[in-house]
Amino acid sequence: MNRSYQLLPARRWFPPVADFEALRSGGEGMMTVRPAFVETVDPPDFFADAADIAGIGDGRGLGYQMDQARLSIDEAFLAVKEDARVEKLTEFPYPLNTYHLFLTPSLALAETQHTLFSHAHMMDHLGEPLTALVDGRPVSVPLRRDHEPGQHVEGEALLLASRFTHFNYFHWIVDLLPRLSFLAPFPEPEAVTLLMPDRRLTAFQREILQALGIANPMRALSSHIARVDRLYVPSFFAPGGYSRAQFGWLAGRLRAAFGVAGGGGGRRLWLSRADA
Amino acid sequence: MIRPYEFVSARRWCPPVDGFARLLAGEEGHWVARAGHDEIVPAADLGGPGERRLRLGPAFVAALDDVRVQVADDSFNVFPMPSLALAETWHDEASHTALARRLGAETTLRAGETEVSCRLYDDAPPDLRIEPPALMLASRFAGRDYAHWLVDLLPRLWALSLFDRPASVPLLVPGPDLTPWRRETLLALGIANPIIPLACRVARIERMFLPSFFAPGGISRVQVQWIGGRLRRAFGVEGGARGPRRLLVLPEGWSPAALDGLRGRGFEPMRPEGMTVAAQARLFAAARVVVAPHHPVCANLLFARPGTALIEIAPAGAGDRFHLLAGLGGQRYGRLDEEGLDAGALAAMVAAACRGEGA
Repeated sequence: MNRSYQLLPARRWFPPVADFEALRSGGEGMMTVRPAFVETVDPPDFFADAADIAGIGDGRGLGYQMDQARLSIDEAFLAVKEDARVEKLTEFPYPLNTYHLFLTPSLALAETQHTLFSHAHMMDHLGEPLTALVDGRPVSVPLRRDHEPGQHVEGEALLLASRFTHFNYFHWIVDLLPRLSFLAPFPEPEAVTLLMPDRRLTAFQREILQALGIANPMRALSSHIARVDRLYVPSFFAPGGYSRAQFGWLAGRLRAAFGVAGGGGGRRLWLSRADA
Repeated sequence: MIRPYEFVSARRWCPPVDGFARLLAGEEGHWVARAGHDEIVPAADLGGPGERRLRLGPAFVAALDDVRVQVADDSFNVFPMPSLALAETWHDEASHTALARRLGAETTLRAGETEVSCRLYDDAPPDLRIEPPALMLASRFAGRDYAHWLVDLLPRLWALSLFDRPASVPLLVPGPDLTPWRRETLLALGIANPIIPLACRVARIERMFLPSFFAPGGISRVQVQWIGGRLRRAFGVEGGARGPRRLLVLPEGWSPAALDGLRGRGFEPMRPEGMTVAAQARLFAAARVVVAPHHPVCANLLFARPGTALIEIAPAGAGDRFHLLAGLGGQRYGRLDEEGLDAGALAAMVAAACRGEGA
């Protein structure tokens, strides 16, 4: 059965709690990890024409001149959803790629991909909603198949999966790995079960996790709908874009993990996509 | 722009606060005034529905900034953002969804092999802007249906008592004009607040206080006592009234042949069209046995004394709100199917009702 649904911002679903202790104590809730702020992005050092450079989205659509880039970063949060439903598959039109968290059969959490605005924008960009005509006027309707859960994750888990992270090197590194920072407040971070995007970790995914020393128990989303008893839901590290703190956190850990903190190696690199 | 929409509970959209004062101070949030509970409605003692258990949600007031109210077909959806409507402009999310489906408010859209049913609305720009903070009293059907006005909408006035100066709070009511019975009840209840009729397609409201139904999910005993007591006092029928003891309600166009058997049994015909609320209140306050169709006039049970019997002749599938009203208000109740109404069954039920007429 197809159902329509809408995105709902987390702060409109989860009651706010003051700290991690309150979040751990039971029930659903949401704690703010970092407040919203504006990140200013320096213009590129080298470019031919600033107008030719498409910037990353900041909630105002895609593409703007890099020398004007100011990113509106929403608050980062950690929320808890009890008896959660996580959708992995969709036939409209990209398989393996939604990772929606359904709060009710017809409401999905907006921030499983950055923010309400950018998530809705991306869904439109990907052509996911059904577009039909009503009295000659187009209507765009997000829809899903309402399956029963085919997987049950017992106990607690931290959601790491998000769109594109199951295969894409960039999204794995820049979107997924920074969510490991939300392990910090747990009394035993290494004991928290991580909910991964796919049961088949690629070679680069395995290599990075091993290098980072991540030995947590892992569960992979392996069904269209997974039911999770108690799901910790982190926002993106810098919802709505990226931040200096995010890249600082990420780069520090990756350099240390791969032993490249001191630099070294060749001085000049040619990146070719000739065999891509 | 045509958009689909889903319901979201105002108790989700607005975070909980620990006192109504915080809402008065300007916060967005909701404050729970009464916890939810189960209510048992006794079985109809004259025949008909059995015992009912009602699961009633908490009663609350939500305060929201910058919302859009769609006024279409008496629906009064409140949109805090595009494509999301607050569920509690009706009872709650489950009953509002079911109601919308029953009313045929869902449209099936198709694109190729794919189809989906959804609710749609026209997200048109506002044609009315309301700046002062106002209390929402509109809800589905209350603009034209006497029973919904008495039973659903007027009890929402419970929220007025929370304000520092209740009489100065502007009230948003279904527009464009107040019908005579709406004016009459407000006047009798002493409600002299500024009234803002929602005479528009889309209203933009800068700050809205949305009270839930008195007992979301049904009707409660406390609700019946609260509104019944106020209405009886307002219309001066607290101790009953003088008038016929047996009443046969005959709305225009309704006269099943089986009713002929009631002739000579002392039933006074009541034609509700054009009657004032005061006149209806007196008739129901005096009556001990009422025979009526499934009709909004049955909400006048709120004026009736305990022990008064209502025999409702209803079509199949008609709602059970008058059974609930009678059961919770201490009145006797029986129900007969309108289709193929059997004169013998009616006579037997009437006889049973008359035996217990009392003084």
